[in-house]
Amino acid sequence: MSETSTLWRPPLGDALKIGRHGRRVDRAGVTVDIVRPARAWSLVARRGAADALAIAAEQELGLPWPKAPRYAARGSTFVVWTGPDRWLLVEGPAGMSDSVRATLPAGVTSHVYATDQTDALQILHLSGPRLRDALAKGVTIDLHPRSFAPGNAAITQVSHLTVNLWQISDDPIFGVAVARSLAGSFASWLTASAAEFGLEVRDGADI
Amino acid sequence: MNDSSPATPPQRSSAPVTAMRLMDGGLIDRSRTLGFTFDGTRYTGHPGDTLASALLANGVRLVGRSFKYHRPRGILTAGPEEPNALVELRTGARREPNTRATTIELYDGLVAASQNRWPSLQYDLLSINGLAGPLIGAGFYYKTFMWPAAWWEKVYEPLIRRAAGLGRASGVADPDHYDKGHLHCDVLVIGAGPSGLMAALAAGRAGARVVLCEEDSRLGGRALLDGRRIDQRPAADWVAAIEAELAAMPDVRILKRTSVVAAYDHGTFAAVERNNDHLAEPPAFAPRQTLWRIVAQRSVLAAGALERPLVFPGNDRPGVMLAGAARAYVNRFAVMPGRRAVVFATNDDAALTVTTLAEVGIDVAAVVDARSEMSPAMEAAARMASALLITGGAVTRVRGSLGVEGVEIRSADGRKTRIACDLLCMSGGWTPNLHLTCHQNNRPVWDARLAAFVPGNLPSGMAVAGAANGEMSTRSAIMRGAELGVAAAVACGFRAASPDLPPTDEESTSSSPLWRVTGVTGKAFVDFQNDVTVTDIGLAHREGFRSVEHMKRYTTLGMATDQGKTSSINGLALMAELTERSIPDTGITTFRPPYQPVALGTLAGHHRGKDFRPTRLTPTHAWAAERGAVFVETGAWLRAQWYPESGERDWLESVNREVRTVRNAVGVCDVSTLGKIDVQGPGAAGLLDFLYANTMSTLPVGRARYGLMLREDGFVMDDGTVSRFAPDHFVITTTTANAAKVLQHMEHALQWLRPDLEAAVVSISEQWAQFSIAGPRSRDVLQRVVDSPEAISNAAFPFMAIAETTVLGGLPARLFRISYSGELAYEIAVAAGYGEALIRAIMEQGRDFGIAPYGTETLGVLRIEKGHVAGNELSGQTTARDLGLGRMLAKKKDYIGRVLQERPALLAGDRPALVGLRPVDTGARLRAGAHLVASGQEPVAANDLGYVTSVAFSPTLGHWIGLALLSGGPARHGERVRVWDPVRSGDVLAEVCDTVFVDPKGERLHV
Amino acid sequence: MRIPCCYCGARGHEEFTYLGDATLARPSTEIGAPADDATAAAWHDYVYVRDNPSGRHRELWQHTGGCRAWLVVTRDTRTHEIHGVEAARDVALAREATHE
Repeated sequence: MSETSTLWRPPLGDALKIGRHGRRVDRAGVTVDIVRPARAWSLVARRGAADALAIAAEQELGLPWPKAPRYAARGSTFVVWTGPDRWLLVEGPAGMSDSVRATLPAGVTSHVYATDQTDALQILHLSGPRLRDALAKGVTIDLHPRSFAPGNAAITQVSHLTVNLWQISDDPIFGVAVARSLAGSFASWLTASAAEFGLEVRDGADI
Repeated sequence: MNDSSPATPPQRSSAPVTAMRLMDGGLIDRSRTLGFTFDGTRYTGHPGDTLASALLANGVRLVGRSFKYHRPRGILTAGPEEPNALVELRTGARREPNTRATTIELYDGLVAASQNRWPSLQYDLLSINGLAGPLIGAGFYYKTFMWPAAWWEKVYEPLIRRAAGLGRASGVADPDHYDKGHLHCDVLVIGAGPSGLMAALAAGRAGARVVLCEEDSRLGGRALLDGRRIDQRPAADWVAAIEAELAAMPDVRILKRTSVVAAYDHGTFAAVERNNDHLAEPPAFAPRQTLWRIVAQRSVLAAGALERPLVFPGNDRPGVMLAGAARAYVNRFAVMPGRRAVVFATNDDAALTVTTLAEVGIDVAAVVDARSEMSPAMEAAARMASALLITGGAVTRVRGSLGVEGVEIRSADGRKTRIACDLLCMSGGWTPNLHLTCHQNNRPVWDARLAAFVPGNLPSGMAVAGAANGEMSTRSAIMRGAELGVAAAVACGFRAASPDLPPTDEESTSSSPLWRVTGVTGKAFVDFQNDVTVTDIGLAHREGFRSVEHMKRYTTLGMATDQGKTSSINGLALMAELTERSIPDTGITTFRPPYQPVALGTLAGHHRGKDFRPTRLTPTHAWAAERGAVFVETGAWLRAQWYPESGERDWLESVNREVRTVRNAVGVCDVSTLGKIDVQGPGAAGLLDFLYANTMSTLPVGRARYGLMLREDGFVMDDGTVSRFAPDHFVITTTTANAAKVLQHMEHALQWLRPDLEAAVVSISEQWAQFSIAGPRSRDVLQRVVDSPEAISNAAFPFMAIAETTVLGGLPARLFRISYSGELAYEIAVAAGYGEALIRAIMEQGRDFGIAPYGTETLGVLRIEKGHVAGNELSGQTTARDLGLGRMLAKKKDYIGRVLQERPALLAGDRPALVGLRPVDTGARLRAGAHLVASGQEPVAANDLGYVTSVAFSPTLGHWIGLALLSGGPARHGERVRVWDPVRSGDVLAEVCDTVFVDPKGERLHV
Repeated sequence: MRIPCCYCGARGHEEFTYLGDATLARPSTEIGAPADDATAAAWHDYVYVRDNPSGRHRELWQHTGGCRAWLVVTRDTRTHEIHGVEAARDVALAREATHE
């Protein structure tokens, strides 16, 4: 399907341009990496299958399966808890696979109802020394290291938008997933909120 | 005093630099001079000044005119409670009315103007309002401007607005940016005076996450103003040492220039940080102000106390100042508020003002102590200042109009003395600043010893320290602050120990109230900002407005920007006296958020203009914009409304062309905004049977069915299609407007009503771009787009068939042969990222067949021509039968709404039911919302038969058509009705007809 | 107000959507049976009649801005104090179990 993949348009469109935004500073206070997943699914555990799913996922995908609002990654695959018995499973970033319609490992499939969400979300990786200050302008939950550590995840609201948020590392690096149709509004909020710290937007294919 | 270290205490000197500026002392930076303008006159001040202190330093006492009587007013306070010195700050788009000169930090180039005066501050022609005082007392608006009613809008209101009012808004858009922010902490400390500092220090040292909010630009509170010593050093040095320690703690956040304005449930607070109001304009990209939401496990309120004015004639003249404010100007700002002073007080705290003034060389002519017993503290202060002490006395009159020139004092024996002075310091005692304790409906309690209300029941997690709790001495404030800081940290799970308590000066806080000076004549003000006098309160009492809440509304006491901070206790004490009740029996008005005025821009934050709320864009938005589409907001979505082509003069011309293109050739429309929900699992069919009024479990795989959802009360909630891709896998659509509601409804059914059903319900609205391709040539176009054209022949893929397929050489797609337009039509869905590519391909492949894109207007016309219902008909007041869909209601299964849709009243034959309307005169226009009455009947409510829900100009028929809910419904087919539209002067005769105007047999669907 | 979602922890109330009384049970009515007065009364009460208690109230909320779980929140209507939060599905399953 490589001939059709060039037809694909990212959710953000022109809403977040690669480069520097806001105040001119040596090192941007906030850095955004635009991530394009190869594939993403909503998973809902079949009735009574949550434990079996966790075992299968650890075996088949090598992922410690989250049973609470947490995030786990192995290589370029990661899983985020999105609700009771619900997860977002993401393989990426893009460029690794040219298959648009991919299938889950069979061992996992038998325990879940899976729904393709590859194009439903814009995923961003956020980092930088002033990231928490910028996020605090819209994220209502407590992101202080004592309360929210690498591996923690949350579904919450940012500037009237519902997002998935997870912490990847201590640096800090956060991941955020926002609905495709709202990616532009999220970008507008992020650009405004990070402007005073200096914002750098990068193509996440490099990470 | 060492100028380079403003944190050191003032050394006393009487030599003025500018008119009233002291040579030394104060927390100002004399090494820099700032220029500013007030009412066009240029002055100078220093960093550390407020506008008020800089004006006083320049000898400016007259700052504004009062609200109603246009009385000359000066500076009463040194803080945010200021009721008098309100000015318009800045110019142009940044001009802000009603800012308090006492809180404006001076910056170079500041421009301020007095307000509510005409033509000038010195000669205000409207001050004759003062002479007319008896006519315009309390309630005068309600009484005077009653007749004739027609004069209200044209004459009275403009007159009142000109005469009585505050400053002027800029009238143009606010150029600044405002932020919102969220903070979480273990302990929130509100106020950084001695008690707040100790609380923050105790909690911070214990390791708690602390947020310390201080509304001033400096920490210290009254410690900076009083000139006392703490820890055997000047208080400002002690403050600086604690600030340095707190600033070094990584989990302590100090927010200066930040007012906590509201206390909400569960430890949630709102605070406004004035990030850059101290600059001429905010630096690039920086917010002007931030609205913080602070969530705290524990809070310590250390907001201090506010001094009360005394009530006597002329107490509002420029030069009459609160005693605590007078010494604040000396100690903090190195300004002499006058040269010859009289101090009139009811308490020992004012003794500190007497000595402070005397120390800098201000001549204290007299100390008038209203208490009948000699106070040792006052006696000592008067002796030190070589001032005449009049115990049991009162100020009965103030001479001077534009400023105090002297006072008349009545001694205990009734003898009157006149004393010349230019400064009158008054103190009626101190009122704890307890507003935040009351925001969740708690009431304060009266403390007779303090003659003040003190906090009563507290919001959960809150404790109150220092003067805010009635602990008026510095020593008690420090002790209590430390204690509560420890307690708060311990409550959050930390081990905490009290910091060492610093030694403080001896203070006497003895006080006894005097609510008004009696036996006097002349205007004695209770509320300065609203020009409410003792007489007004008497009037309110005589006219029966005796409850404090009624008194407030009748007299306006305690309203506007200061919300009674200096006036409310005096006001209710006077009402208590008049009604012969105690003050606690009289009660106190309710404190509501916000504690301080908050700019609307701050509340809005980022959410203004295009960011007012989030906007959802469709997968083809960029493409549609490129084609010049006109967009319309539908809920959060921005959708293409129509696609104008060159030469088209108005929307109707474009829409007519789009409709004709669909009816005669083929059109394409982005319908991705429809809610799309994936339903999987062994319980999926059962869930859909429960949710829809018609049966879905019988739907074959590979087919779609129209579905109707009811609410439990039997009315229609939403409609859409249900497609079955596998025995356990359905995809449903909802209307654009109800997408979120239907998902919630389904989750409610699954998690609460029918937990026995195993199904997964997942929104896929974002994943799929979906287009309607409609018109007789739609299959021709589609066959060029799909990878297997033969699979969609009429025989292979009949009406209501669905399939998973591929397009554009391998791109997975879902194809539905469903029609909203009544034409041969399909909906095709691909992953949203490919939506733009697909619509470009469809347009490209459709060119040979005359394809055009169409927008929501055409979508509407097409469905009205077919009598399909939409949001206007799914109003929440219509049943399936009302809409002609009664045959869909299943008989043999349970579903939401099943029982109540059969209520007798919903089955009545005269219920409004859906009909079509066509104007008898085909040139006439129908209007949605118009009411229907029988032909020949008067258009009055009694004759009302229903109303028009939707109208469209039908280019297919060449005239306007409408859908209406008409009593009796289809039984009236063929009758004529008046379509009466009083709003737009419409009165059209129309014939009642079937709802399907085009292809009534539905033949086009199956070709 | 902050509501401690049993999955996500305490969140501001703006993340939640209120429905109402969680003590009501949907009447079960035999399909096709003629509607009698008792049935009509039961449905009328279920759909239209609500108590307005002063004090503890069990009510349904959905964490719409979060994990989307429906919750049974026990809240004091006078003080907003929240005494407990349970997953609505668990409450509903327990209710089904007692009925069987």
